[in-house]
Amino acid sequence: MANTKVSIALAGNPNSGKTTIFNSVTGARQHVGNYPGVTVEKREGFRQYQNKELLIVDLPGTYSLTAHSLDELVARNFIIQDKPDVIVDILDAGNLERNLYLAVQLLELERPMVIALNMADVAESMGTKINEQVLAQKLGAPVVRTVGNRHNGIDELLAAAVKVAEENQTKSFAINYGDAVENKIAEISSLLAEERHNLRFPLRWMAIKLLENDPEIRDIVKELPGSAQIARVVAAARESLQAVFETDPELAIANLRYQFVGGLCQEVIVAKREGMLTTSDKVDRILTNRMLGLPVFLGLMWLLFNMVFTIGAYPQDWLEQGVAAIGNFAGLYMPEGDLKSLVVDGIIGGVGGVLVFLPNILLLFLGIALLEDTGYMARAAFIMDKIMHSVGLHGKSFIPLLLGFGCSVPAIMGTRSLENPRDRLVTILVTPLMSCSARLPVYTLLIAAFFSESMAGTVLFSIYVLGVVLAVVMARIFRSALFKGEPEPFVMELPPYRVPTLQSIFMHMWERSVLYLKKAGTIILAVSILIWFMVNYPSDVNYSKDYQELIAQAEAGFSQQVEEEVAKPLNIAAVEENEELAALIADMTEVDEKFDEQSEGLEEDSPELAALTTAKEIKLQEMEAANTELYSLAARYLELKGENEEQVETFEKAEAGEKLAQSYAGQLGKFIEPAIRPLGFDWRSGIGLIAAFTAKEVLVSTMGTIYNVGEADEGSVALQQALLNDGSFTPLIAYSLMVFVLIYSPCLAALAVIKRESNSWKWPIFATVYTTVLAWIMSFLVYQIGSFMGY
Amino acid sequence: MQMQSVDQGQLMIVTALGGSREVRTRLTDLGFTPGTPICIINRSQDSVIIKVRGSRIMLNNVLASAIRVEQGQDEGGFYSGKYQSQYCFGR
Repeated sequence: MANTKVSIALAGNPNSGKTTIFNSVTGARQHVGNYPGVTVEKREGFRQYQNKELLIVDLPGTYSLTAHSLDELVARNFIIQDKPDVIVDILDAGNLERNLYLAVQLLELERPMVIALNMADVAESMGTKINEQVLAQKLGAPVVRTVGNRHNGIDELLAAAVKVAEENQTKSFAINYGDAVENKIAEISSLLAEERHNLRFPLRWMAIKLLENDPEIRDIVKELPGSAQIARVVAAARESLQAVFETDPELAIANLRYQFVGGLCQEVIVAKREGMLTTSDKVDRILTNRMLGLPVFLGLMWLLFNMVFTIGAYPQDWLEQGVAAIGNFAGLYMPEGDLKSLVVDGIIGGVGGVLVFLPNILLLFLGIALLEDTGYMARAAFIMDKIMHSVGLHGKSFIPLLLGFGCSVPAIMGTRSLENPRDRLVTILVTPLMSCSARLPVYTLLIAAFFSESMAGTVLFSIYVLGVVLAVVMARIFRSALFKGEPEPFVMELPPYRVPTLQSIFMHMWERSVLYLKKAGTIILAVSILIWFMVNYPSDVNYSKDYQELIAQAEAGFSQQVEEEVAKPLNIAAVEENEELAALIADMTEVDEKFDEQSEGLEEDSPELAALTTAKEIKLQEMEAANTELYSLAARYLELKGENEEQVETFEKAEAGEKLAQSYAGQLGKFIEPAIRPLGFDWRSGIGLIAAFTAKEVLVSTMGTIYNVGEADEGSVALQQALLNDGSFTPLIAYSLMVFVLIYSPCLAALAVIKRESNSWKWPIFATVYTTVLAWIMSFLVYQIGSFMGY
Repeated sequence: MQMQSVDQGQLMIVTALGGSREVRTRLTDLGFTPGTPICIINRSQDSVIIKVRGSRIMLNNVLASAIRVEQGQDEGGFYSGKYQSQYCFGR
């Protein structure tokens, strides 16, 4: 083969270790996309091997190739239509029979194939010994032993695959289905042979599929010129087989295939363990037990959330400090002006406020990856099945909903494991109600500002619970109103318990965290810049008063008073002329500053604060004793100075407030204010809510920009203080705002994923509308009932 | 006998499949063919976990109720050797 590119398709049962081998072969060189036209995930990876560029496609894990599910159809069509140079079929050595059932179906497609006998070490340690020479001989394909999670046998596997690909021989492989079936296969094949030039498929395989009444192949045959005759012959053949086997021909053929596989197993397995129940089975009898299952599950969930929020707090703190340091650094070294304001307030403040959540996200995904890779997640789905059923979903929907606490984007992608489109859509629509981690900064900010520390946990918990309750209620409503229907067949394999590998855990974490980082780098960056612009422009504003003039007047008044009350008694023109006085003022200022610095964050009636106050007073008294006359002048000077600064600040704030009110953001906020007034929100919250439509965490950075406190994160005391001082906020309004943020529209990234997963614009639009309406109603109830009750 | 009336932990043999064509092919693909020994590991109201051909498969009642079974004639239960055929290994 002159071409140095080799395409390899990885096939295998679910849980056969396919993904581990895929990761082991490709490392980080992966690309995740979709198969054209469908939402089945397509993983591609690359690997340089012996001067050849290998393209590895990870096919969906399936038990069979009957094309009853989308996954099976995708896997089959990829092999038939894209014609990969070689198929690598991964067999779980510990469960050979079930895995061989798929392997023989792959072989019937007559493409070059290599078999990886995976986890043979585990199987052997449990008493199943397999003779791979006999297996290779019986199947007519090379067999390589691998241990995916220890990278054993991967090189040999690639060598075998490349060799088979280069030979590029169509291997014929036939199971003897017995005379009754074989005669019919021969009859149909000979008819198909006349149409050979129109067909891309192996004839024998097509004949078998026609006997199995495969809808895909039936449709293909319908297009052929001789279709009428073929259809007649197939119908007659199926009828006669029905009579012979006293069951559907497709079931009879499947049985014969199982018999072939069973015989094969007896030939290749040289030692066998006794009994039917394994360790995993016995563990399952406890972990999925009716009495113990739920408590164990709840305990694990409690651990997970504790880990995310307590351990996550430390790195979060470091990141926060880092972001603040970068902001300060930029603030110091950039020239004053719009660009500095854009970088510090807009970009660093906006993106930084979101980045600090990365540790929590990483930890949450670490926990979820652990649950998945050990195999516990499937058990959790079983345990939750009954509860989920009561809301019209089933156990498998539980996994995406749990992921929803991390981020709706991977959660919505996680609904791919649900086969039934109705279940999928209901799950997708309610997933955004699970409070994702991006909403947490909003809660943290508002709770810290308006609720006492002892209430904080309860308030936060009530918001999360509200989300879950609403998800349950909405799922019920959707299920009975939009997606009526009988229960559908539902299957889920409970994989054996395994010790997860570090690599796969990291892969899981990485993939999902990248989604979050991408969001921070793209959407949130863009929104931060846009919000900054909308808040700062238009820059020429018609102020109701000339604030600059007022400030100048205040300054002039201050100078005059200082001259009269401080300078005149000493017969000097300015304070600086008397060195002693200037020094005393500087000393007193220092004492004040030091006190402010040390007392920051102390509780009002704490003993530490009392001690500091006493120390300060003693120092001041010492200074007074040293020079009583100068001291009283200096004190008067500082008093005047303080008054003046306060006055100037009031003017500046009023000016900034007017500027904000007239900015584009202000106009927009005022425009929607009538709609959100009944919920207790003013136009400033309105701006925040509009901006947070793009990503919920943006609300925090937007509020920071609006309240002009520089870089803001949810721990920012300045922003908390600003909110608290703003008379328009009360604890009730803060709670109403949290409820609104919890429920209203999924963020842009989530909407984009809903569009992709539902393949239509209808569902993202529906999701936005229903959640926003629901949010309005809930916040309205909270605010109005709360106001009525006097909160 | 229907699956619903089977006790947890009992060794059973599949005798036939009922239900729609779709249901029957699904079950066949999963390895539920006549003559296959199976064992119920656990059940909840709407679903069961069944050990079949070396795998634990959770089925909801739509599928489980389509499986007809009979009692396995194995004196020692599933720990004895009678059904340690090719069906019975797995992890």
